[in-house]
Amino acid sequence: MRGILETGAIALLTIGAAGCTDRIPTFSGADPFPGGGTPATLEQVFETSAFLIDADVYAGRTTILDARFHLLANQFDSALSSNLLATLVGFPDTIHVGTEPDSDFTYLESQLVGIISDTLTASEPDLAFQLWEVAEPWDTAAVSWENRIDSPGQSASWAQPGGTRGALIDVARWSAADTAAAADSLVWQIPPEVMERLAAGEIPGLLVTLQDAGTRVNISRLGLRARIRPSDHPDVVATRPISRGSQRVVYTPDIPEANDVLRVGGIRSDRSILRITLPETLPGCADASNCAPLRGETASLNRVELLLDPLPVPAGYRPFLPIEVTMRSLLEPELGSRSPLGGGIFRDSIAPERFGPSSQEPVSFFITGPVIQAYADEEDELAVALLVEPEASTFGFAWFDRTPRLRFVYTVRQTPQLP
Amino acid sequence: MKLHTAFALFAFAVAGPAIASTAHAQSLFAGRGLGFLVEPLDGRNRGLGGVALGFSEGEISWANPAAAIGLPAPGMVVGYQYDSFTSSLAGDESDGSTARLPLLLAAFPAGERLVLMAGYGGFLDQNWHLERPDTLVRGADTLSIVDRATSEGGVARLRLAATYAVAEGLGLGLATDFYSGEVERALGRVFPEDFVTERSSSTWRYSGIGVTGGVHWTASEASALALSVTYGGSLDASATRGSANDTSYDLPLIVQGGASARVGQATLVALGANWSGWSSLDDALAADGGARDTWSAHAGAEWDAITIAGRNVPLRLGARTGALPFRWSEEGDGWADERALTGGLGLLLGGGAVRSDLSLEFGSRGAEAGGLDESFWRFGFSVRVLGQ
Repeated sequence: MRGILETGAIALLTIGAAGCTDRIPTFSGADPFPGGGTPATLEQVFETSAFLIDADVYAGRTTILDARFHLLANQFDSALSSNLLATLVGFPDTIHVGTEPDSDFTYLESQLVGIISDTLTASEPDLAFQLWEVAEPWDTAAVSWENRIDSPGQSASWAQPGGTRGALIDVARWSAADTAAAADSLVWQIPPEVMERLAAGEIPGLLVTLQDAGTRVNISRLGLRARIRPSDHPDVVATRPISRGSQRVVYTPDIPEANDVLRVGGIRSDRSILRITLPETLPGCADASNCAPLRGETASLNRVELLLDPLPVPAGYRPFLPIEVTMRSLLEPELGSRSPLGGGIFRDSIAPERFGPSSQEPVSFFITGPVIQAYADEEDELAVALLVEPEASTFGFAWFDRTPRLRFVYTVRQTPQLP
Repeated sequence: MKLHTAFALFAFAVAGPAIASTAHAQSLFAGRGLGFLVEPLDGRNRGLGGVALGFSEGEISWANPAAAIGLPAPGMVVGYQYDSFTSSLAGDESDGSTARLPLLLAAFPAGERLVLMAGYGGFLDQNWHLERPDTLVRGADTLSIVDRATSEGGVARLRLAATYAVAEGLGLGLATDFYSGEVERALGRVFPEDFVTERSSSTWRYSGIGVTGGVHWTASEASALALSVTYGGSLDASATRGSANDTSYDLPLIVQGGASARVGQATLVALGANWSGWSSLDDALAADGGARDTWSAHAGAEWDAITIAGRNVPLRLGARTGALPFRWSEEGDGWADERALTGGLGLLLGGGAVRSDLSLEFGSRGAEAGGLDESFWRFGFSVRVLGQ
């Protein structure tokens, strides 16, 4: 028995010892490197004419109605102005205090409230928001900066573009230094007599504008907190939320058009489509005249990128927040704008300053994976679309010059050999 | 089936695949020439300073196929070793460790004079990783890169051998080694994020045949003398992946000698020396630093006066020194030597049917002006089991 135990213990020790893990040493430095073991990494930039088959720009189908924010602007970039028109419906005819209906209640001073949905959209640290009565009736389904009725076959212009202003009701002020609820909230006080007229439908709507020129901000949908005093209970104040109704943004000028740029995103969700041909060969060494070229599929592609030069976007239509530009493959590029989109290739958040007048650095869109795959599939073309997702998520556009460059950073493959 | 026979089969089944699988580095010197030489020694050999042949009793020895003369019963030996080392190069240090089973050898007496043997033994360790950080400027990009060179794999030997007792105490042995193994070499460059890493690799499968002949003479119960000569034959590397070239190496002639004698009732002294003609590969390996003939000297003493719980526990001390065959650097002389002090103990179990041996080695390898120096310690453990 003892022999069995001893023999078993030895067997277990042997097997256990064999299971120890290994740690292979890793050394840094130049000396121990095997001869010929240093790869050569090269860069090659192709100009537009060498690879671009065509570049098309397509206007999207979204409008300001698809946006999840309300844009307010006042001569932003000395051009863009945008106001919010709102109607409020659902004012009560009767309220109940206890079990008794009350039709003779009165409105107290009430509050119209909104939220700055992203404080980073505020162009200035302090903003003043004016709340006006709208002085003219308007078509809630078809209204524009110029026209209070703006439908096909029927139009009527505003007496004052952007919404004819009646009486100024209140001015709400916001400061980036505010804290707590005031940090992102807007509150306008509405006097009782204005509430009575709103409830009676005597005011065609409310108009929100930015007070100071050169400013811009995104706000959320507005809601009214109506404060009501029952006729038989003067010591009671009831609050009723009223948020139904139409809220429309009107803006000017129209979206700037330019045929010599690549447009992406914006409130219209424009997209640009690029078709490129891949180079058959790449230089085999730094001085291409001294060595044979490499076929594209034989090089180790470390990075392939499309370099696009951002352009200033005029008329206040530049992005105000980092714009998320997505590059996706095009499954059937011959269909143009109707081509179904393939998988995402690259997504980059581009700082808004890049679309300002002083920007000089190109924007890189990495296409390494698709290019490697194209070479592997023996395809010589690649079609990609530049767009912003989700659509209408930004008012501003990304503009790029129509002369992209194609940059390859690649390493000349080595064949490891035994000594 | 006897217990020890069952254990032997079990150990063979477990350890066999472990030896056949990819070996791991036991030295950064594996990065030169054909790699780092792996010695299939048992714990007793290691404890005695690496003296591997020339013991008076029958041994299951890789170094000398004639050593099995007088083996009383079927048996096998399994050797395990754990290496830990620190390499230093130009002020930079790196640690490594590895565990391996470099020896698995079974012997089967076939009649009174003949013993047949089969097994696996390690041969060449070709595992190493090297890195070199650098900075590249390409266009507007300043890139922090790391160049990498790696090798994973090695060569093992499948052995078939026979020992024949031509006279009382005199044995001749012949072994045929079938080289096997695979190695993958890779070169690459690691880039920062958003870049694709470059990695090119080639793989070779090894094959070839070598022959070892040996003679063992037990002069008396207290002394023995042995000599073995290995003709390495050809090691062929066939590329199996990548566009690398096939290549072939003429492995050297290796001569090993050893002797032992009892100098007292409880004291055994063992001496050994090896010579290898690796310079035959100097031209073939010139681009990698070249190769040279090597020698090594081994000495050890065993004292078996201690018994614990009625069991004999021999204690061993030894030392060895020798040269490494492959040149590390062309700067200075670039040739490295290795030296170590060894110790160990044994334990006889099962009435002597099971002998387990532990060993511990402390040593260093490097050259005065060779650039790379290593200090190492190695734990060895082996079990020899004889059937009853």
